[in-house]
Amino acid sequence: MDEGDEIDGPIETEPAPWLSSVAARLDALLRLPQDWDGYGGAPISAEQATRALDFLLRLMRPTTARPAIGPLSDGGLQVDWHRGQLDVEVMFSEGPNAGLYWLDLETGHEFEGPIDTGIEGLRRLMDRLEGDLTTTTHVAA
Amino acid sequence: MSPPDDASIDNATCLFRRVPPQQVTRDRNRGTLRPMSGHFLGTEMSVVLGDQLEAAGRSPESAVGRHTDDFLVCGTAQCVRDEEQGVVHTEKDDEAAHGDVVGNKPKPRARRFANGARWVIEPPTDFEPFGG
Repeated sequence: MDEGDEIDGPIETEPAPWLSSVAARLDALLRLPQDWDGYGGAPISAEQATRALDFLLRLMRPTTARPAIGPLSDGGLQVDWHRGQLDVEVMFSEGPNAGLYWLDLETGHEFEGPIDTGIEGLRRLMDRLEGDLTTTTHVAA
Repeated sequence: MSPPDDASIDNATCLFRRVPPQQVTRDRNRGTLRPMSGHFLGTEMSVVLGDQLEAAGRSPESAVGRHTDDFLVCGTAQCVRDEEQGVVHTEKDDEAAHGDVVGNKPKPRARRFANGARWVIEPPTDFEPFGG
């Protein structure tokens, strides 16, 4: 952008209401020790946590419900939503399980494949993953 | 090639598997809490064999061992065999009733295990998993 160019539309400077809790969740999972699950689980990889956060920042709106975020025993992470008649599961892993899955329970349509291939299709369904604003810290202007 | 399977383990045998609290998700579509599908990945998945517990006079709940903060789910040997898995008894020093569910577990299969798991020790009513 050159000096003097006009900006179209407002610039969002407020962080999304879900961001701090998601970051805290990732931080807590990054502190899990070796064998955190009693099955020999590996500590969570900072690289996978970064990938997960980057994915969420690309996908989520300020009003999107927080996803479930859980550890995988290979050191990866799983991000889920099961709401709005959508099942969404995203695995961030060095192994073969990395990828995106979503199932629209209303239509039966589903996707399973690489995250970058499926994210646009999922983006069109994000209205269905809206959160309950009464349970967030978001304050309307 | 079929995975190893111990035919002496009856199809009705319950297979118990601990679930750490971090891997519980709220499924609002079905109105339940359940394990995340990622909990059921891996070629060899540790379980505790119900027939071995019964023979030792132990309760199903004892399958959590020292992991007393964990929850517990079960399914039958029939359920996993229907998914091209084998069930074997693999006794360990700290769990004589230890077994493994052996076989390839692609993600659709792991999702079916997650959706079909039945709670034996379920999260308490005030348990609130992160997000979902």
